[in-house]
Amino acid sequence: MSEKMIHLTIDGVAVEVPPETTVLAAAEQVGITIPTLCYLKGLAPDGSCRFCVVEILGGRKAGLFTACSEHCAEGMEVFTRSEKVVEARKFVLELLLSNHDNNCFSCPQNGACKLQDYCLEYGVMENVFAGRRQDAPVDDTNPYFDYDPKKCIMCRRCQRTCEQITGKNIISLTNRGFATKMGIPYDHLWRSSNCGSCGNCVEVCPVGALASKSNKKNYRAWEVTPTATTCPLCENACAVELLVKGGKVVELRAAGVPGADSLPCGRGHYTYWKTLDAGRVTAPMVKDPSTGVLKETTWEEALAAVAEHLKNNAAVLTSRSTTDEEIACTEQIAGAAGVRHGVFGGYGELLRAAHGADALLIYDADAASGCRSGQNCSYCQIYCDTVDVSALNETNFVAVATPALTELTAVADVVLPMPAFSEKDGTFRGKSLHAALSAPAEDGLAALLKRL
Amino acid sequence: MAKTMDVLLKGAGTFDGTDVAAYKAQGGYQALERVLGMSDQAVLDELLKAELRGRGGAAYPAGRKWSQMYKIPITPKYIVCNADEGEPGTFKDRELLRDMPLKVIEGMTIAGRVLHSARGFIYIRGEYRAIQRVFQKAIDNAVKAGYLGKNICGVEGFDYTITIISGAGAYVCGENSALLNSIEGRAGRPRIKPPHLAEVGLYKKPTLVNNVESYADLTVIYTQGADAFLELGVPGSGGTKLVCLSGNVKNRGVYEVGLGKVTLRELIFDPAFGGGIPDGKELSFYHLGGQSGPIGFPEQLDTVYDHDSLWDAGLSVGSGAVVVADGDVCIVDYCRKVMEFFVHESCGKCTPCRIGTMRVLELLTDLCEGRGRPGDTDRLERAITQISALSACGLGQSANKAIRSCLAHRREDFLAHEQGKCPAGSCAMKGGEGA
Repeated sequence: MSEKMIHLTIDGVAVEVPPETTVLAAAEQVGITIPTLCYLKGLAPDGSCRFCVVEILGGRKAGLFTACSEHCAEGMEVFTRSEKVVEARKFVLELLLSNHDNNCFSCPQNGACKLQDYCLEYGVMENVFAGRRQDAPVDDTNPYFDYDPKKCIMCRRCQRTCEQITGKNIISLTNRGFATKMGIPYDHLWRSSNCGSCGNCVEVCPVGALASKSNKKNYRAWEVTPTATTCPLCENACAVELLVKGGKVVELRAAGVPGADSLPCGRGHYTYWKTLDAGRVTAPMVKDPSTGVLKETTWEEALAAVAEHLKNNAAVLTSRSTTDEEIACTEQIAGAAGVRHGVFGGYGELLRAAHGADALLIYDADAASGCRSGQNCSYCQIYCDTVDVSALNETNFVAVATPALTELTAVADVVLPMPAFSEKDGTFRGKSLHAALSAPAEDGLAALLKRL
Repeated sequence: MAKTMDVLLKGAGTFDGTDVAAYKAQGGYQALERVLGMSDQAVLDELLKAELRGRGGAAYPAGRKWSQMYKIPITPKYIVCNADEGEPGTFKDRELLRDMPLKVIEGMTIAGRVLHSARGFIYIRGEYRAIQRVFQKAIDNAVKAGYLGKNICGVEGFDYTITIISGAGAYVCGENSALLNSIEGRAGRPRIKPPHLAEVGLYKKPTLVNNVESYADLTVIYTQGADAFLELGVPGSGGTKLVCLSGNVKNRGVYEVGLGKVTLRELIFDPAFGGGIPDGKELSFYHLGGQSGPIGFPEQLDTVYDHDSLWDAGLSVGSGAVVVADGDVCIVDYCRKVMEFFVHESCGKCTPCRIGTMRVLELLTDLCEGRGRPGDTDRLERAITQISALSACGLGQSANKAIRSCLAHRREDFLAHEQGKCPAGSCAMKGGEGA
């Protein structure tokens, strides 16, 4: 290596690092963890919380420095847990606690809060300062998450994530000094901003200031079991975790470092994983020819009907946001029946792909997802599929394999049950999906393939 | 015995400071012309030899700052003059900007010449609105006379312009990195260092930031030479210093003194300077260098006024402010006022300054209003020690200095307040009493 290496010791351990390495990174290299609050991998160091201070002796200067921003220098002696450091960190915690709503009992982040953890670790058990506190009402105008200013510790992780990673830059700091306030500029409500509800600010909040509505209402950190999986909504294939409580998914969480490993969008974060109880398809269905209403039937009858109609001028169409295995399955069905196969991204593409076919087998993998209010509301700004599919009524026969009833099943002659995103194992864009829940019924496409 | 000097402010107010011909008649632009005949290295060497220490407050050796900046190969470079004179009790830059604008312009032009920068910015505090107009007139006149603009003094390729940027009332914008953020149109919050401004400054380019008085001092150094400049002061602190006397002192105003040539006693009591305390009252204490400076007491009056001597006595020159207080002023109440200032001016970025200054103010307010509790003095000491050790920028780091010196010299006053007593008798205590 042509670069001149720098030598220092951290808690007595010798470390060799290239120039411009921060003390925090150097410590990590030798397995020493320095506690942080405002630091977030992937963001430029902010040095604002002052919690990661370490004591530096030797070199050109001595004293307390923030490990996240201080560069290593030759001959430095760094102490990460000296008495001076511990006293300083305690003081920072005392200050933060003195300006924080300490009602942990009702806080969604209870049990998963960095401030709580560090206060326990450093023995800061009560608020030692009486005095003024920041006070502003909770902004609950975003449909998916709330902002509680009384809990904010001004680490600015949310603001910097919104600026540096998602590039939206809608969060800002207003006022000055003790009155500094995080939020939408000009004291506007969240609803009136052009926030896309991507929720990455909520992910990076170390305390409960930004918390999802689901977290607030449905669960606490210790009640949920995470399952690592991949979001198949788009080609970004975000690494995510599904949090399950009591046989239900209650939250989707980004896995790893925001931006670097995963950056879920609003739809992925808040609606795509939802499997709605109402309208869930749990058994094969056929349309009653007299009433035109779908009713449950036997597998034999449903599969026979589909197999019969797939023979002539048919098409097998599958939505793009599903596993490689499922696409292979639909391809094999098309191959076995000797008809064409296609994929679609939304209902608009579906209508184009369906053009000219007399019989259709459609796999609508996204059917269970989202609020599907169909209003394409600018309110939540999360994508809704609003294309009118009633034109498919003209088609001779339509079979839909789907996890849930939608406007598409309204035109179907046969409906086959399918697992939802949270119930699938498989591969997507080279990444793995793991089922967090078991599906309520057999996989309709697999059953069909077996029969063919 | 004591004497005011007449170097920086020579002839101030007797001629139109914006008029180039009048300025030249006073010896103006000789320094620049001399610099034009010197090599860059010779100019830098002379500055090092002159031992000019920054006049903004931090007293960093200007020669060292320039030499570091000179070595950085990145272009373009920017020259910035910090005229955000916001330290309470400091009003010496105002004199220079109003009466000697061309002297500041000449100093900045020398910096542009030596450091190969074509762009200068002067950040003048918003409260000096009238002075901004005077300064703009001086810039316009300098352009007309060929001392700014293209091919200055007929030297091919020597281009330099100066732009005035107005502050908007934030004290923290006097901090160099916050000042650059403000020029760029961002919120005036300090940046985290490293990188240092000499490498990544204004618009991410190498930037020199100096105080108004420092730039003006350059004209003295290059007219009279480094030796003469050093003679004006003492080794380690060359030149003269503008001192701002205010508070409970008879003759308030700006005085020019040779560094190391007068004592604090002379500054406050000599008829040529402060002339003593009015109304026959006693001196209680004096605050040096603005709100971010330490407080001195009568027992330290014989300290000589220069950077090193004051430093050894636990005091500092800072911006040059000397605020004098008589015996009627309660020291705890004064500290409360100082902390009120920092609470108001904190930018709110880092935890210790944002919340800590508020907690210290609350402690001091309790003491001054008769709600003191035993142990408050120790709590106060712990808080200010941590705030200064932990804060991200100079504002929070120096917010403790006044209180620290008071605790060191007048701890008994704080302990009395814990008991609900105010020795100066100026705090209105419920159930307490004045001494």
